[in-house]
Amino acid sequence: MPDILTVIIFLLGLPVSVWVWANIYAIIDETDRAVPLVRLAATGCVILAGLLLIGRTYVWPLLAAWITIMVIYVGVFYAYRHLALGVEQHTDRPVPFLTDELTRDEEEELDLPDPPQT
Amino acid sequence: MKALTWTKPLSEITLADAPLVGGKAAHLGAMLRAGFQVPAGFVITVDAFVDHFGQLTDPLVKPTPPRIQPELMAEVVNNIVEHLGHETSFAVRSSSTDEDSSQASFAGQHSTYYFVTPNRIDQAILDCWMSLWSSAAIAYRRAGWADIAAVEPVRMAVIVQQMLPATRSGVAFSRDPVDQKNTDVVIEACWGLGAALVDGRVSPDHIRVSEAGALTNYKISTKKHQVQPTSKNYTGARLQEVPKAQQHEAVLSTPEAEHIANISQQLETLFEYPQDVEWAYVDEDLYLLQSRPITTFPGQHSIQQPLVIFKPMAENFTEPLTPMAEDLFASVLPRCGALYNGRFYLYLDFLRSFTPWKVADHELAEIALLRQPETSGKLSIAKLIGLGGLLSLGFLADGINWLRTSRVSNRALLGFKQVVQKVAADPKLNAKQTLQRLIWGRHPFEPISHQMFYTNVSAGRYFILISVLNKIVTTFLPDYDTNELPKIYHSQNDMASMSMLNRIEGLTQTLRDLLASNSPTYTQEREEVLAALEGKHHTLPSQGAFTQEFEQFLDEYGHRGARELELAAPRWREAPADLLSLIYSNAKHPPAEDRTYSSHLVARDNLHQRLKPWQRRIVDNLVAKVSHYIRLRENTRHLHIMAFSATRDKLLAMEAEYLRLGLVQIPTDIFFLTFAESQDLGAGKLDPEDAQLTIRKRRRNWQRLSRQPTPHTINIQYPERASGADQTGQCASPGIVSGKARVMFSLTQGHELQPGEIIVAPYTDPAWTPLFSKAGGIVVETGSFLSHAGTVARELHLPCLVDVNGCTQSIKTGQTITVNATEGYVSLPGVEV
Repeated sequence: MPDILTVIIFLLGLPVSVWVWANIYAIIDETDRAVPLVRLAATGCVILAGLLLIGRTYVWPLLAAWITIMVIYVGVFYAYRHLALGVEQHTDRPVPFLTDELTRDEEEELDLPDPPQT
Repeated sequence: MKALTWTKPLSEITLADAPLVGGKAAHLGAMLRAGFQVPAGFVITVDAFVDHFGQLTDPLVKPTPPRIQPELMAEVVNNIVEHLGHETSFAVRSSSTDEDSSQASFAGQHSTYYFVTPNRIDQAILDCWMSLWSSAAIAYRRAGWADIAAVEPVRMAVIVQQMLPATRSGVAFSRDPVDQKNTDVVIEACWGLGAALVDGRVSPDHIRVSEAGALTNYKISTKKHQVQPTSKNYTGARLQEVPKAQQHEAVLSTPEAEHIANISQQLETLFEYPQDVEWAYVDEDLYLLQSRPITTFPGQHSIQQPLVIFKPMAENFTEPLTPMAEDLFASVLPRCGALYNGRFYLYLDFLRSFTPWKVADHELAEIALLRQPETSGKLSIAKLIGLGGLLSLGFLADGINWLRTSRVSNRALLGFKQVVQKVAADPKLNAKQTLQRLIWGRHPFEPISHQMFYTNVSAGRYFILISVLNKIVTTFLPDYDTNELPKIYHSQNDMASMSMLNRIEGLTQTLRDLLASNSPTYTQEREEVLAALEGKHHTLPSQGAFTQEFEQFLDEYGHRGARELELAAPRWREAPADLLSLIYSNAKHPPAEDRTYSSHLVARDNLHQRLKPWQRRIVDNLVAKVSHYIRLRENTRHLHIMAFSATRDKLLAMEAEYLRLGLVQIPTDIFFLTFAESQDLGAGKLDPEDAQLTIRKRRRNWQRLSRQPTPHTINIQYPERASGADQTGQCASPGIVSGKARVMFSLTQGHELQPGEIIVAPYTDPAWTPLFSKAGGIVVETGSFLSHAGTVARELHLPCLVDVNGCTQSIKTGQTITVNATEGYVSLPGVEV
């Protein structure tokens, strides 16, 4: 059973991991690479300082948070594309300017008065 | 010999003769007897049909064509001499016993032949009879009519009438067939014969006349084609280009439209039921060609959920998508809404799930329409916590992309061009796969620029940031006019639409120089360019400075054009005529002085001077963010439209192959099939004749749907503002301007715009951008702060009012109006706001 500090570090590690991954991606995205590199280095220093303060045992919840974010990110990517795309299409019965597409059932469903006998 | 028993003159026919002469002829006879002007003629009754075909047992099996008996031809010749003595050609029309009945009309599924000469009349009669077994009619019976046909054998009479060389024709509906409550007479009118009108091959003018008989609305369409009234047009299939000057001309004058409306109302009285009337003008004489009951009115919506249109997307759906575009578009849209009649709507319940307070349906609809809701809802703490949780989870799931889009640069976006080229050149990817790949990317480790659609949607967050910026600036400076802020966060030349506008300005200047040059070196080029611009040639000369610059422009911007999400809409590189016409029109006027950048600097300095340094840093940071997202949204739109263009190219390649194989008949047919149907057609799983029947039906429905106004909500009690009741709207770009109005329904009217005139239009899209530099202001019916009209107008510091309901009807071209885009209304002379 993980102690409370492990859980807290894991939870705090989640948004930090989003930040870290976003900066790693910024390098892939070919944006100005110096900025994400500096940010990553700074984040690394802060994390290292924190670990030195509380003890290196807690590197594992941080790593777990980092991997969790990537798993969620990849999972959401594929889940979204396979499950969430493809909206319903609805078209009301043909626009009734002319009547040639109507079937007898549709006529009955509409319950319209009879036109004059021809 | 059977003397004079197979024919009957139209003038002797009554409605009671329908079993003998068919529904169409019975109606024509009744109209003639009632004194309406109907072309003279006679009918070959169903007795002739029975005597030639005998008793047919299976209506689905096509019989062998019989030989026409000489006795019938003798009778026909006698009738021609007696009733059509002076005519040299005739119209031969089918009139089956199940046509125009209360249960089905078979309209257009049996044949009509035009300009039939006496020596071909026997063949035309036989063709009319055999059209009872056309693939269309058989498919129709297969769809549920076989049992009826078996009980009551269908028979065919044939009408032989005077052939009218109609110069104008159309249909009139004595009641609005779309809106049961509306008693307006609806008229559609086109040039030439009306043969192509009923199957949607030509775009007619759309006219409304009130029940009292006064013209209330005349919408002129661009009528590019007509069915030519010539003797070579036996089936009415031959289309001819309408002379350019006539394409935008009204087919009917006001008295003529009112006269037709009056006649259709009289026919409704005669037949005691709303009528659908076909009419034709030969010079100034009006003839009636057919009248039949309108037997249906719209029923309940096929969808039960409440839906609301999402305003920033509304300008893409001023016309419904064609079935192919709808089908492919549906496959890449997330399930937060539905496509209804070719337009995209959000589920109201989806919006509700993100709203942390209780809101009535109509208030929620106001939010989606970006209008100011009356927030009477109560904030729920539980829902607020829920929303906070949802946002936190959203950040964990998608925060990486949120942060990525906040930093992506223009240079990084350009990588998407290569992706498009690669996917477009990949023969293994069909149109659907191409669109899916380009819209959503391939895998989660690709650069964000490969997920262009996501980036585009995500950039819409500037709308929220602008509210924050306004709030912060008014907190720092309570007396500051926030209408000045757009001048600060806009004015960016690295935005695609502005670069495009600058390039067009460059082209316009090149053309000005060419036209003004006296140098003999340029004489030939000038003449050739002028010939192309004035429509004498279809293409620009192969060489020359203007041509070269124009080709370079098309290389970069040729994938753009009007209605870009519509896959059936041609792009500039395919149809540059409208664009060239705009450039030519702009070149006739001196260039307008560009003061946008100087006013940007002035506005920025004014604000800076009044802020303390720490406040300035906060405001500048926010302005930079807003500018970034505005630029990102415009630039990603420019790039993700490439995905639609590449998809269109794949569809066109497929269509060219199908046309070659005879699987489809005319260009654009493919867009009236779904993607699966088009694949089945290519694989031989779908009969080309069945496909053609489907295409024909959908083409007509699409045309008519496109003339219906877009309802903002479905299944929601939401008070739509009455058209023309007021002239208020949303301020998309602040400012006040007075000037002459120019009402424009399509870009083809662009050359009419004079410098300083105010554009009044149903909507605008990027293809309209070249007009903006010449306009004094913009008023549109459809749009929002986020829409194209607003974005570009803010860039150019042009007053722009959007969401002005019915403005194209209540404002007339030439009227002097004042657009107050700061307070949100248009002043018309003599109208109190």
